[in-house]
Amino acid sequence: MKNHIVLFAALISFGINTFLQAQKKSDINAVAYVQKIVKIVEQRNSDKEVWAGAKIATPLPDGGQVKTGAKSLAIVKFLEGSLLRVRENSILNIYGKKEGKKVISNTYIDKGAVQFEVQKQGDDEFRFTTPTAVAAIRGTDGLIFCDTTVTRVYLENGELYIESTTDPTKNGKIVGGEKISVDQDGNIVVAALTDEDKIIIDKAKLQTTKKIIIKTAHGDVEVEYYTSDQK
Amino acid sequence: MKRTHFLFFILMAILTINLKAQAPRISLVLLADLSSLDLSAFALERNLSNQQKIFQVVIQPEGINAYIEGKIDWQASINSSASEVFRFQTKIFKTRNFFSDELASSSDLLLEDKTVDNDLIEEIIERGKLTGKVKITLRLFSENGQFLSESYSDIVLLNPSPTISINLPQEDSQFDVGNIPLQWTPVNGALRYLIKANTYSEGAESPTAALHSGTPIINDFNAGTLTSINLATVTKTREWYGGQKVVVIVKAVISESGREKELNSEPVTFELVQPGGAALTSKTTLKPDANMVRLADVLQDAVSSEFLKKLKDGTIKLSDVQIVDENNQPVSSDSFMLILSFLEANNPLIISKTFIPKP
Amino acid sequence: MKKFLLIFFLIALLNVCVVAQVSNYVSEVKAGTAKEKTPITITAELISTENISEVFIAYKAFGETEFLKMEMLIVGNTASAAIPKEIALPPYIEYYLIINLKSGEQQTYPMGIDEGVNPLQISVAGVSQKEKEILVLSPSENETLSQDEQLISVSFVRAPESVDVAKTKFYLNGINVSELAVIAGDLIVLAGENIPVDFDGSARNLLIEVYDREGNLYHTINRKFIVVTAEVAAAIESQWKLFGNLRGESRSENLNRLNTWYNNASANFNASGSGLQVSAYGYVTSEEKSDKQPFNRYSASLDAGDWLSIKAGDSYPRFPNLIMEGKRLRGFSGALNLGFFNFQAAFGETARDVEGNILRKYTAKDVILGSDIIKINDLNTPYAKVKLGTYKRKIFVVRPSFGSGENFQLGFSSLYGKDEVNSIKYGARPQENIVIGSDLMLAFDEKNIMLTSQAAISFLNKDISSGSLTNAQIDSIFGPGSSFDVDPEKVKEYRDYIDKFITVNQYLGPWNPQELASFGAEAALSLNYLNNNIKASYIYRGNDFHSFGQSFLRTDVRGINIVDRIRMLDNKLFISLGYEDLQDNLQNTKIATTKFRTVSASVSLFPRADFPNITVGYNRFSNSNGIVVTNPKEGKYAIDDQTNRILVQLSYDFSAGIKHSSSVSFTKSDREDNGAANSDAQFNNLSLNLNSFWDKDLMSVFGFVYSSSEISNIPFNYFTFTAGGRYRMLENKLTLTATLSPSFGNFNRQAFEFVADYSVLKNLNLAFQTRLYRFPGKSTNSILGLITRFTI
Repeated sequence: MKNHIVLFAALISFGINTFLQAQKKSDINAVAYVQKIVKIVEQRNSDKEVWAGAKIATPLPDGGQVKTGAKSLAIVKFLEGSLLRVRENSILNIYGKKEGKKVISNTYIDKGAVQFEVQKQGDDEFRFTTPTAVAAIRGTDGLIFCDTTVTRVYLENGELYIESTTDPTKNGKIVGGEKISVDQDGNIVVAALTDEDKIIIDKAKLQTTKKIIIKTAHGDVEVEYYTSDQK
Repeated sequence: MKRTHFLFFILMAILTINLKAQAPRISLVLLADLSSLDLSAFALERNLSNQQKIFQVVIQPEGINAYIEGKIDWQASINSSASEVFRFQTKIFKTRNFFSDELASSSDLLLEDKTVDNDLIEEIIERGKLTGKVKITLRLFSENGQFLSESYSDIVLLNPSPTISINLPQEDSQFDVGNIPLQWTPVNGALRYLIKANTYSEGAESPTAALHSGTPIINDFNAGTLTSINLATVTKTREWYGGQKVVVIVKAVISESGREKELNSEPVTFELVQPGGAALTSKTTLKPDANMVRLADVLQDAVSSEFLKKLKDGTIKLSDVQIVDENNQPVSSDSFMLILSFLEANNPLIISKTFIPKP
Repeated sequence: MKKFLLIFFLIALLNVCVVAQVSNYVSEVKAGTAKEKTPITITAELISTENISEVFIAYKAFGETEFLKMEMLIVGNTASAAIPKEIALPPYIEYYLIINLKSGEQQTYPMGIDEGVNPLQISVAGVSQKEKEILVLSPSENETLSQDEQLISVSFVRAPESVDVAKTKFYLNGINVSELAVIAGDLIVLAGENIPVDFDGSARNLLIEVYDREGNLYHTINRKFIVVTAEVAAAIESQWKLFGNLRGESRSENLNRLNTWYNNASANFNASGSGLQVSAYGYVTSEEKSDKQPFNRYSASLDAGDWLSIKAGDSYPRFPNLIMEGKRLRGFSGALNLGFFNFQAAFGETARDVEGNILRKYTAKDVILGSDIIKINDLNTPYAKVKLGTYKRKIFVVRPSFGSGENFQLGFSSLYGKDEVNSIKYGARPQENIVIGSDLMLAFDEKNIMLTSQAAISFLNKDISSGSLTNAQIDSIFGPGSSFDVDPEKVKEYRDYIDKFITVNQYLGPWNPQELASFGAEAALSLNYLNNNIKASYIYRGNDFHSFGQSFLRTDVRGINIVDRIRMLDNKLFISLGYEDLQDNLQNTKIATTKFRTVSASVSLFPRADFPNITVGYNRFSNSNGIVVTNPKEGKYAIDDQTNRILVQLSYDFSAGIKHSSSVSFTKSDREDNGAANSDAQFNNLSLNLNSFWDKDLMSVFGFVYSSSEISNIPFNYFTFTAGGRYRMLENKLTLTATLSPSFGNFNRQAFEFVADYSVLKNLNLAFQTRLYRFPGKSTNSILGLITRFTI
């Protein structure tokens, strides 16, 4: 009975709300949004604005940027379903547009590490641009990390085509289980993923945070850490 | 034989009394064991109140018109030569006994004249304290300037300060109740060393507080000037026994401007060995808990060093702690081990470590 | 078609048979919704989990030949796993469970897979065209979310032009929540905090209705997810948890025929919830005496997370150690941590007033010289030798600081303390103290590089009983023709200014602050790399540094200390090396400068195998002031001694019929004193110990100690045997422990200790102890005690 009353009251209040406020329409034309935040994540809609603390569900327009602090993580999801885990101390720029049925997504990574799970359909394009390389992805997942001097991609599945930004004549292609690096001079190195590399990829996928609190007579200790979902 | 001795003794005594009665004598009585002196003790100023008494001037007989000439010589170190710092002469007064603080201050003991070596005074002030050796000389003159008597005293200023430190026992070591070596660094100028020790219950009270409260088991035991002692042989107010934690300090008693002052060593804690060790009375004896040591390694700088020590030495045991997750749900010790191994292997995955101390 | 149906029925029947097959370990297996490219959750209800060590799921997609395996997560009686989305392909997948038992046996579910029994099947539904057009990005099917993470997001990026995004309706457990939706172009999101939570249970059913421009229903999507509501989490968190215990002890101690009773009781109460923690503590003892410093303790505290803490009563506030550490304070203390700005303060009494008493009175004429002779209020006998009392001392400490302490913190501290001159009648030399300091912490690379430093300067007035200098005093002491040719008006000006902080008279020191006599500073750098933990520190403490917040600070000392702790062989081998070099006489106030040097080294091996744990340690302490003892003038001040100490410890657990744990330890220290004190000392100690565990209730102890020492040529040798045991009875409720240890030689004593520990109830515990120490020919000392503990 009580539950019914609560439900009824909730219904009425929602009903009233519906009258009072219509569905909110953001003036942002989202190409992606922030799905999860750990610790310090900041966001801005263009590089002219000031950084502001990001919240879950913050829509990111074409040209939006996401920045993560130390030990922080942002999960950015694109409208076609691709998912990026932006690891600590990284800056990610997001670009996206639609050409007919084709969804074109591009990201620019200044520095840091981004784990990706790209969902592509048909003629969709998904690109990563870094200071030293441009990578085009075909329905795949892996890890990309870069700074101003070198870009490295570890590919778990699918295919990836990459070319140097300084010398577009230098390019390379890898498939799942391989890794590639492109430095500022356009030097390209391809190798197979080692077991250690696979561990690095696995770690970059971690997004669940857990806490353990040890209570003692002399004080309490709280440790927060990333873990895989199973744990 | 004995009789001649006795006679001689009486003769001497009479002679002395007669001598005393005839010529006035001055003598200087210093406070016992002056190993350091505040400079203010020598501020011979008329209007300074509450000056301390560091010496007494005894003049016999009383009531004679006389004046005193005094000087203070200073030797910066034992091997250097002496220089005169201060010289004074009093006005003529009726002889009587008086204390240092009355000189130049009491209306009948005002100064006629004084000379100060300002350069030396400045040097002394720069040192902040009197150092080396100080010689005070007082000479008594009759009102017409005839020398009557002289008295002087040397003061060696050792200026001990609390650099006393216990070498043994070492912090957190263990000893059999019959053999507890206590050994400390010597302090020049210490009149004697006092030992204070008490048992304390870990976690309930800070070791230093235990020294100040109740009846310590060893309550200022006088070790003389020894710097090593076996605590087992020291007089105690209570028995102590294996498994107890003990805190000990050594105090050097020195004299500062004539008052006794105690210089404390930093406290050291140790444990009395329980025969049979931790297994016998698991409640009291400490044995490091391997898992807590592992946890300590994971936490490292995130917690206070004191807490870290407790994790490492076994004060905090896995069996005593409560472990919960982010939803305040209890975590079993098996799961805790898994998490601990995970954290050990994946230090970079730790986002934050927070420590909330409890006193 | 008929055939197909028949086959279908047959397969179904077979499956039913298989499922119905009796398993001793699995009662039921459930599968979640199976949709193309969506993880499929499988849960199994287990029976007698105590016999199960692990459960695996074996699965394969249609058309594959080999089964993939994955361990299931066991929580309580449920084992669960999610089959990855890559495998979830139409038309069906196959799976079975592998149950590993603690006995080492293995079973499958359905039973007999190895004998050809068919595995289980789940048909996987394909994705429709409309499902490809309208993407529910969050939540995914059966996803578990916390309330903060709750997020519904739908992408229309692939939807045809005919779909009207704004018309989309969202129903959560039947309630229309569409008005919470925010539309951002092709995206609709419903954010966490707005989504209602007042539903029964944690299961959520999301219904999304998509309409076209004409208002016709274009597509509906159903999605199930689970919300661990913050309410539930918060309810658990905000539940006030109470914890408390009462402890009472009564003890009779007999020492040299003098019998003393000690009675004490303590109560501890702790309540926490809603992020707050309230604690109270009280301890009363028969040892409390008004003519001593307090021994009873009372305190109450409130903590709100780690940002606020307030404490009233007895506490031991911690500031940088040059300012205050380890000192009991009765009053208030607290800390406010706001991240960048933090504030810490303490105020109260560190010593209570204890009145002195008159030992002997003197007339003005016959008063003698002595530091314990004071003026009293008596006409005929205005002086008295007294046992000096203790003034009430109050201190006030504050420390504002900037930076969280994670990588940076800069703090400023100040301590002000004063004795209350009128708190006692028979006392001398009340004091006043100011200490001002600053501390800095910098950390880099996850605190692997850390720099800490602090500095402080102190001012102490050693006797404030006469107050500050008066104008008349200044006029007579200063000015032309007086002792100090300084303008008296200037002096008054300075006095008035300084007097606001501390009493100004001849006892205010230091007189030479420019010589750093009252300055203290220290800095330490620690590095943690390559299994090395190295810390180097420098200290400087002038000879006149005083803080009322510190009773045990070593002053007139400066020097360095370096410690390196090295971990090797996978934390099995620990090596520690240390060197300390200190010296005194910083302001040249002593006859000679003494150097204190310490070298320490230790090696510990914990092989974690059938081999003893070994620790070997060495220390060398040397103190020397360079004076030769034979020097006729200074020889009596000579300090020159060295101590060498060696420690060897072995412990080894082994089985010989039953389990034993043994240990051997040997220490030797030898002080050679060539200084004036000539205080030679030697200590040797050898102890052996064997604990044997006969069964789970009975343990025995045998021990032997041989000890010899010699201090200033007086030997003290003895040996001790120990035999004892521990016996647990009444289902571990009662533990009896007894040991007998006779010692022979210079330490002639027979010790008998008996302790009974009885848990009357789960939360009520009684401990009775008897300890008898017989010194043949002298006396028998005893301790008899009863301790009661009650836990709430």
